[in-house]
Amino acid sequence: MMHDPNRHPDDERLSALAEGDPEATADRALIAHVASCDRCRRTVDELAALRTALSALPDVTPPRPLRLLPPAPEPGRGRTSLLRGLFAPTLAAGVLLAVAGGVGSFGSLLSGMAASGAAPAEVAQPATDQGAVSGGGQPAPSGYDAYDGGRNLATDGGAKHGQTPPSAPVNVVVWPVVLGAGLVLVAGALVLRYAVLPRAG
Amino acid sequence: MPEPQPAATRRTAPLPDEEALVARAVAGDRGAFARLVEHYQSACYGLAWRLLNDAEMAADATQDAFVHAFDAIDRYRGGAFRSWMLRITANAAYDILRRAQRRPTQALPDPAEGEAELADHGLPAPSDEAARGEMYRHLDAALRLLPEDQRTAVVLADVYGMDYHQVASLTSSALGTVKSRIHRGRLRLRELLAEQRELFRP
Ligand SMILES: [Zn+2]
Repeated sequence: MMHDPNRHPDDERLSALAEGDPEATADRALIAHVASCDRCRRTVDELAALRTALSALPDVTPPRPLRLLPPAPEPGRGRTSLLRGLFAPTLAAGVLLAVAGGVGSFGSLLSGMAASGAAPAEVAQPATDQGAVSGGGQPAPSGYDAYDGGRNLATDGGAKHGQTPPSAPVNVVVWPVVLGAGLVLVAGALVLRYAVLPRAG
Repeated sequence: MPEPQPAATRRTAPLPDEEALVARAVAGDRGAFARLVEHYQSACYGLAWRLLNDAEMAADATQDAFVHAFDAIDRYRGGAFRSWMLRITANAAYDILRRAQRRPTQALPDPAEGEAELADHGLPAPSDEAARGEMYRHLDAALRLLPEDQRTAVVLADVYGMDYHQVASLTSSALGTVKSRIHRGRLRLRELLAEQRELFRP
């Protein structure tokens, strides 16, 4: 890196000087040589002018039109995600109905077998539990509907059990229907999620 | 003219409402993103074309850069949008360059042929504007004659103003290597342009 005043420095040093590299501008011997040597001063000046010209090179118009955006999400995609969003609430509603229906069916079966007396109290108990369980786990609006329906039916059933045996035939019909509807919803949700949607996506 | 000259435009200035557009694009506004990208497409294409030395590959790289930019816009962290787009474009161009280098058929341009072409350009036209255009065409023609490592270093640093650390990381090279390529590239350009010296008068 020493500069013999009679010898030209390496051209790469002149290039560093031309761009104002602090390490080169702090090199006193280099500066002194360039100040006294026409050849090197011309090189530095030309390299500096070259840099200026390079930094002003114009932009270039692409030879063909380019796509500015990736394709917008298709409407089909939107429907798919809507269906995907329905999966959890439908499954939850189905499970709640099935559990309520199952418990109800079992209860009315018991009350049908028992003529009267102690049976109503036993039946009322699971129906209330069911109301508490579904009240705790209602995640979405349609789960709400199922919860309300389940509880109304359950309290209706409990009240009727508490009153008179003649209501028993109605319960025998209603609870299995609720159970069946719940199972259909669960099955529907599962088919939608694992059979229909994967192909749509 | 022995080969089609690229359609040159002046350097793209930032849009007057650029900050607001960028904020909207970051928030997911597709229209704002499209406007920004359209505005800077010739800046991006110019960089890709100068890095790759090939119009078709450069258009592909620019297109890839738009897709990458769209995917990354929500991680944009301020700074000049043009610089951000140019970094993404340089990366996309490098991906294409590496893929092309794996194919052995890719031939380097013959420097002797190019030098003849450079000499053919003739004298500058009288007006300043035309002389500048002439100078830029000489400059691009000379850049195309540099060895690839020198050309890419000079293009990134001197044409597009990236700092040497950015150049080193984009080209996966050591800092000292980058500096040496830039110096050697400039000196070679100066030799190639010796006959057009009057165009580069300081
Ligand atoms: Zn000297």
